[in-house]
Amino acid sequence: MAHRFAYVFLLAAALGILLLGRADPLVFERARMTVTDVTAPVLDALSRPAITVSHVIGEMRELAVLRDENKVLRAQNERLLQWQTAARTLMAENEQLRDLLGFVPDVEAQSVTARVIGDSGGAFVRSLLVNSGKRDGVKKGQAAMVGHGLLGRVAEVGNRSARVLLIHDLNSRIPVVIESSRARAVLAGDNSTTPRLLYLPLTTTVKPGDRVVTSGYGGVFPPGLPVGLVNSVGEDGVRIAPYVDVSQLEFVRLMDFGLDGILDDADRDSGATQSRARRSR
Amino acid sequence: MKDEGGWTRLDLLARRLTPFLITITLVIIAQVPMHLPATISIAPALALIAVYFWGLHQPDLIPAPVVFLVGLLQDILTGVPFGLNAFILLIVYGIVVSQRRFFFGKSFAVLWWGFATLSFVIGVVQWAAMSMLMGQFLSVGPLLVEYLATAALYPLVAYILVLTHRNILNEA
Repeated sequence: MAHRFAYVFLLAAALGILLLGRADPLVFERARMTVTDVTAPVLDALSRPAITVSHVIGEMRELAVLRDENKVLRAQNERLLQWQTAARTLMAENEQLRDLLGFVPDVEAQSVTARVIGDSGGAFVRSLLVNSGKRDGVKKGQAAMVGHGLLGRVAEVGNRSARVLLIHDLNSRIPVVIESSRARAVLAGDNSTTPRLLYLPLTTTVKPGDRVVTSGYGGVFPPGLPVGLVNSVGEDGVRIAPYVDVSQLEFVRLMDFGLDGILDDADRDSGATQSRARRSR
Repeated sequence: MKDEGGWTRLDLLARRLTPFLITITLVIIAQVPMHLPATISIAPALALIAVYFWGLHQPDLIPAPVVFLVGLLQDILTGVPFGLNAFILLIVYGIVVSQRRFFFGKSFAVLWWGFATLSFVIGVVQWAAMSMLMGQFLSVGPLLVEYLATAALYPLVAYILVLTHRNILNEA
């Protein structure tokens, strides 16, 4: 009898926690990050052998396609060298024009490179745990990049670990712009490999292959971070194929662009006045 | 003599804690990035297997509060809404413990079938609950992959658990 009572009590407690956490997601954040911090070193240690095995397999696979890949890369290199010349010319021109205009440059980005130690891979949540936290200067809202593509943003920060919410996640909403047409939209994850574009103006024409970059709206990310290419335009809206391949991640770069679009806990605690002041800044 | 009593008690404690520690370990291992060549990496629900197994064979080794804690740990590490796995694992535990009589002495295939069926039902419930929490119909694909991966891994994990169980029983 006592057992049954305890069982029902625990069941109710789990349900209560679930609803409470839904009503106010920040209630359990500190507890979450404390536990994550404690397990981070264990996950860190375990992730290393897994990486080694993956490297060996990857190298064997690479050997098989080495010759073909070489050919492709040579062709690409040639093309890129042409682009480099073009970019150099444009950069010089840009600099002169900026000088003429008295343009104020953006704050230079700082970055922290972190190792991926946990991959929830859940059916409902797309997030990663990384082994850098507050002590390495990681802050909530920072952009997580891999190579040149946007991966997601830092959602929770512990002392020595942080959780990165991927752009695939259900809760991810990123203001983006289609590079060619300058049409703004919001990139919304839905747990699939191809996030959707929401609120795209009806008058714009979008075609597969269009580049999508961040728009900088909301002040969380700077404008122009590459996100992906338009993958399909169809019945269920416009879908994006992100540049970043999530399955093979080993390291991510957490970028500090000197922006503070997302309020952190301290602001939240100190009340609305400060956040208003911040917004008006 | 007194000293020996202490050691015996310590030994007993260690044995009693083993299922709990193994379950925790499974939760953590499921989180390690495996870098499989797949577009979406899916972590199998290894803790579900452990809760099913211990609930079936020896529920007194992981009582409901322990299942609750394991669920919370899993929630924290995977980043799903806090309480979801705690709830799911408790439901599974409750069903399994109440159906022990049916599974008693059945072959491994029946146990596997039982796990596959139960985790499928749980998957559907979980999908419905999450869709309600999120206010939209979630895509089923990743959940299906997770389900298949978990069901496929059942024999391996169960084998490890059987070995552990035997060791605890034999020498206790």
